[in-house]
Amino acid sequence: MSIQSKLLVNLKLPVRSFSINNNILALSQEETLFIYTYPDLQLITSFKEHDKRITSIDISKNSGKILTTSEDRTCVVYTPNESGYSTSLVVTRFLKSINYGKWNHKGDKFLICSSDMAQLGVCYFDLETNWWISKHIAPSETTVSGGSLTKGASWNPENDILVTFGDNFGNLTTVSTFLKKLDDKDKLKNSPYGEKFPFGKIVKEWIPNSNSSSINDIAYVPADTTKVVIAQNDGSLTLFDNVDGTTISRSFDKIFGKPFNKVSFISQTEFIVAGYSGVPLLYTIVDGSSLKFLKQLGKARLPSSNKLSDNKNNSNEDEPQFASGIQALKMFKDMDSRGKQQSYSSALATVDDENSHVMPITDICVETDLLITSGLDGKLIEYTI
Amino acid sequence: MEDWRKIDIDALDASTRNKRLTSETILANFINKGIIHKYSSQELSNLIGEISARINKNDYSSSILEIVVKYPVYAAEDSSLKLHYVQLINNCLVNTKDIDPVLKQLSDDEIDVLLKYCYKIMSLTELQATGQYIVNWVYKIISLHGQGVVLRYITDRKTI
Repeated sequence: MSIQSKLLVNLKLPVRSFSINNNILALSQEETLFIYTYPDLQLITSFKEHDKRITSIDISKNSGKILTTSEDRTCVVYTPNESGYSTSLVVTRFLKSINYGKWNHKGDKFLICSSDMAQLGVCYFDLETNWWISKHIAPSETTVSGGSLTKGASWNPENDILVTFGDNFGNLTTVSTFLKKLDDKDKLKNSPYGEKFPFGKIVKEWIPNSNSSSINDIAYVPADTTKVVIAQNDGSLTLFDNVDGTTISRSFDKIFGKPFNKVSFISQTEFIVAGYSGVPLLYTIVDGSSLKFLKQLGKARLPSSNKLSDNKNNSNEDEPQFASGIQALKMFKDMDSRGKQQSYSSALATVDDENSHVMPITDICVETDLLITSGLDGKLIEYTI
Repeated sequence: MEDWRKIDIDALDASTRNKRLTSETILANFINKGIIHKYSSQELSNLIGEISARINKNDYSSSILEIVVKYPVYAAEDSSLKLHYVQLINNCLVNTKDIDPVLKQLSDDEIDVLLKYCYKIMSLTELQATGQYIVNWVYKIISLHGQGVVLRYITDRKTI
């Protein structure tokens, strides 16, 4: 099986988030948003609506509206029109950075996760006031939490009303965002999560795996929405029963042993995870009861733990080794006084290095048969699944 | 203002939800939720007695396999008794000559617990005289299980 990966975009600054939908690619470079066509990568326009770093970007599949959240405590909605995009600012009433924003499937409201007060924000457009409104949902008073929601939050794909989010203290909370004007009550009929769902009701509260390790991302299992897949900061992937609050299966990435940032389903049971190892991995759920590693997408540098176990074999693979200190000194002197570039680095950089991340993956997106990842190294890389 | 770095911005925050968490709050939360069992002095004395009896018989590895990793003492009523317990574990670890067979019998979760004790022992100045043995344990654990165990140690809030 050949591993196919291709460098799509290479930028100077870290890409913290991006989104692809309806042949539009939106990505951020610190506080600036760039909008490209996809897959041609023609720059359509750019915006600088925020005065601090953009933390997340999401394009709604239905309406094509783009949402950006930022460390400057605001969100901006970019609505497509004939001449491009019109922007509208969403005032969130949060006093700290907004870490994450996500449209619901219908595209008429979105959730935001903030570092402030451990509360979830739900925003929707109010026609009467002609203004975006942000409402807060707080977990119960007794919940001990670090106060900060992580980038992990997910809409229940079955009803588009329930939201599950995690925080940096490992709390997993499911709440209802039912709004009379927007939502259909019938969607929640026979829901395994209960019967009545007024806005802001806390449906479930758990600490998965009882270890309070920060929850990096959550995804509902499309085949069975009583279950979620959680990526935690201890490097674990958990198949979690969100109704009963039990861990069904837990798995670790034995090759790299590093935590995952993102979980995304590509089919009813198969999902992709990516994170600090810089390599996306494909997993599947077998019989709804266990997680199984399928394959690694793309290539990676060898993890340094391998060096520890047999340091004789691959001591000079990862980085250039010098026979003596004098030789290294000479190289730096050449670089410093004569402006001479080190000659071996380009020779060592292979095609694989070019087409793989050297820093953590920050965001992933699945577009038909392709997976696209963005990294802190400023790269966007395309993989065939 | 010179020491602006020392301003506690959390104290200026009006919201009660942004309070800084202390390790006491975290521990109390775990105990309230029933995730961590708080050992009474009686229970801990029983564990200590059991390990001491085995040490008297020159049997070190069995208490690691059967007691230490099975009953992690995260919280105890009497902290001096807990320290005594950690010292006994140090004694067991230092005197176990053959490490590999012990490690091979432990499950992944049990390895995590053992590593927590290793780091705890390394943090105590009075136990540093025999530190090289503990370092050897940690080295062997990482060789066998990769760096993931260290990551789990760092991120787990249930601490010894």
